[in-house]
Amino acid sequence: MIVAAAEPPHGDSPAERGRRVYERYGCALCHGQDGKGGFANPNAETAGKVPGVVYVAEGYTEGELRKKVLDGLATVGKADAKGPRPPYRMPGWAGQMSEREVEDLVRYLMSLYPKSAKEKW
Amino acid sequence: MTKSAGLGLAGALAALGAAVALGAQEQLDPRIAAYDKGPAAIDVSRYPADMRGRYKTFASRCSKCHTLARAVNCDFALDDEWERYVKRMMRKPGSEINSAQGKEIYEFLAYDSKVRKKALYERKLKEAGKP
Repeated sequence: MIVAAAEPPHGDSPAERGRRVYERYGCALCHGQDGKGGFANPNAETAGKVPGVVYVAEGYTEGELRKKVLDGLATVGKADAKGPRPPYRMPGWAGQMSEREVEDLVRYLMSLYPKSAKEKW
Repeated sequence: MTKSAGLGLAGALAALGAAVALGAQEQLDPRIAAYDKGPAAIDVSRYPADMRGRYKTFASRCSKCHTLARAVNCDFALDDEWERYVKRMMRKPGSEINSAQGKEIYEFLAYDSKVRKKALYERKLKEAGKP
């Protein structure tokens, strides 16, 4: 399905525009309005839940995160190998989001990292 | 319905539709599948005692959600690559890797890359323009 991408308005910060991209494309449906995840994905290796995105800034460079958004996740590992396949996986947004939307979304996701989380480990 | 609300709904439906699309979910990325088929252990008999201890943490924690072979054979080598990757895993629900274990795993993998993957480590270091 191809979704028409609305050109983001000018004047806002990239992170603010990215927040709207996050909402517009339904990222919050699985990752949560606040990015904390928790949406049920039965038998997913991630404790049967969709992971949050609050801490992506410590786990990804901007380039790595951009690739993740564009490529999505082809497979979700099973918690129980003999159990059913987890029903949800992250779709790739290549060809659906505009370049600017992807950039803004990445900036938004990077901005979610809590300022209090300064410890390296 | 406003244009933005309409787009929001369309986007949400697209996300949901794509998220539940099951057809392509069976195939592992060939690159990852190849990692999974490689050796599933590291010979640490000549590593320093502290690194042998860290290896145990690595082997027990990093085989919980995926094959140990995946971590053993992947092409991460630089310290910052491992730091990001271990933190990614730590944050996954159910990984049960705490900060102290994460640090141990990171220290082992960073050391191991400089020994077992020396050529790859040095090539990546050079490509990254790091001294």
